[in-house]
Amino acid sequence: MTQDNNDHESVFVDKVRRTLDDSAENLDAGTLSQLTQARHRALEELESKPSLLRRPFWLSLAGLVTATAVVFLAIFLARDPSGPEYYSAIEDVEILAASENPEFFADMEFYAWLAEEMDDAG
Amino acid sequence: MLDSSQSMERFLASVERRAFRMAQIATNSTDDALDIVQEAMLSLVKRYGAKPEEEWKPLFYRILVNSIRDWYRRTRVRNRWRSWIRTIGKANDAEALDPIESFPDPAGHNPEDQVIIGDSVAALESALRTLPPRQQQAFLLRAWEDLSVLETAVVMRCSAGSVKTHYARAVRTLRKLLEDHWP
Repeated sequence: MTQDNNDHESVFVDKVRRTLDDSAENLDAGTLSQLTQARHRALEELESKPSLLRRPFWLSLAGLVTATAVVFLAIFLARDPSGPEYYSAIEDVEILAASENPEFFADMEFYAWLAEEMDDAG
Repeated sequence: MLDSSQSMERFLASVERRAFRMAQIATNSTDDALDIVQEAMLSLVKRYGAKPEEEWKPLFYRILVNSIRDWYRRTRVRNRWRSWIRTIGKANDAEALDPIESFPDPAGHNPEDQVIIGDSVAALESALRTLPPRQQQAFLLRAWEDLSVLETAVVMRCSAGSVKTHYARAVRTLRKLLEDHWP
């Protein structure tokens, strides 16, 4: 890549950045109000510790809902083999039925990956 | 706890507008973008509030990017099932339209049309929405959020090389789409 092209790219990216900055600074009042409310709700969470008993209950419920949905879908698909692939269908149901954000379950994998990445970088 | 709360409030206030715009560009929906940002804020506070402040930014954007990815996945799954359900009972139907094929810009805006209109923000948004999600994220995180290549790699859970590739392709596409507007 030539120096001239680099300069042009830098000018272009600066222009994009300024345009995006302007759009973020000029959000409408309604959106700003909702963002403020969202922030305050998050901060309320910081000051109130959730019950330790609550998570297992909800996880159990999520598991029950997922299992029920999978059984239902398996029966349904068995009657109509023209539907989407069976294993894909199970994955779909897990995605739709999960009450917990999927990234919650990916933490262990992420930290293992991060450690490898840091080793490579350093 | 008060200091921690104040620090967290300052941090969230400093990122919320950009995070919202990132999510809005990705989803093309104000409501979905607000939901994603709220979820990211809550998740950061609940899970990483006790982490050192300097780690909050990459953690927040990792959560945000994951939430956007989950939104894509859920939307794709819902659309796939809706399409399949619609096709049931329609004999000899041609292959159903895959909603993902048209996903980058669900509103159907053409970047070149926007350029003609002269609205630089709309033209830029439209151009960004034509990018594949990973290119869009790499570009916004590097160019707008000013994250380093490694930070972006951590946020996106990919290699530094992939970040560079996604970013370079995004810049090339955006420059081409917007060349008449921003030479």
